[in-house]
Amino acid sequence: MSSSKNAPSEDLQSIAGIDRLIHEPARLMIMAYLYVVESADFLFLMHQTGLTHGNLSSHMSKLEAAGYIEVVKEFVTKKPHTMLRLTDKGRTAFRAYRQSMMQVLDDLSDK
Amino acid sequence: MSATINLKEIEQKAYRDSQQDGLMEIMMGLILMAFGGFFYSTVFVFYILLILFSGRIVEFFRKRYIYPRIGFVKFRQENPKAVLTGVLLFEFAVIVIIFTLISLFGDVKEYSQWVKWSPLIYLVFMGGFLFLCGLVIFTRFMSKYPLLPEEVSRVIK
Repeated sequence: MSSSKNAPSEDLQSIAGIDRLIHEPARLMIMAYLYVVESADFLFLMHQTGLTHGNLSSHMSKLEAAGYIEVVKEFVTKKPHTMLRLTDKGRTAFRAYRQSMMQVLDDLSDK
Repeated sequence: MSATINLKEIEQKAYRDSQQDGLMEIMMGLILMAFGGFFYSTVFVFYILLILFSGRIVEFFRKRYIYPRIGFVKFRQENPKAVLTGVLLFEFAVIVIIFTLISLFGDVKEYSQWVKWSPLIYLVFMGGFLFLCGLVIFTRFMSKYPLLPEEVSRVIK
């Protein structure tokens, strides 16, 4: 009886399933923008998210390491140009994250 | 802050931001003005060429002046239904304006009245207005987004 009291409610178990990598606000913004477009370059994302160059670069590396985004670096007239695109894995992860969040918010509802 | 993230709104904002340069309005204005001239002249090559190459011309200027300022974004799929609806609504509005003016100042059944008024409406009101709006938007855009030092020599090919 006491063990069942201390155990988290089954409804709240869904919180544990939240993808922490996406849950960070800056990365969530990046993922959300890339989810609705086919691809975008670094400058466009910087303007849209309001992140600094260093911040965006850091979060971009983490998402790339997780395989959520694909980063294509090229040189255009001797200047670096970086294009970002959500991978299939990233797209699936983002959808799963949305589902988890909706589930959690639904569970936390006071109705 | 809203508790929900509306992805459709994010997409719309991204689209609006990518189209905020006014170049499309300038091109539309030029096409309409050329269409107005089409009624007065048999030389319609310019009009045809403008329509055929309008996309490439806009893209050329965007690569040179816009993308180095606000970046480049590629959208997944344009909604052809929405584009078609927009074009049809615009054409409908033009026809209504022409019809109203002819009704007020001339004979609706008189074909020559249509020929007389259509170019004027297209040329002066629609084309000119769009062109000027585009120029204002473009000027404001250029002052709002100055070229970053590291982007000065960048031109996306």
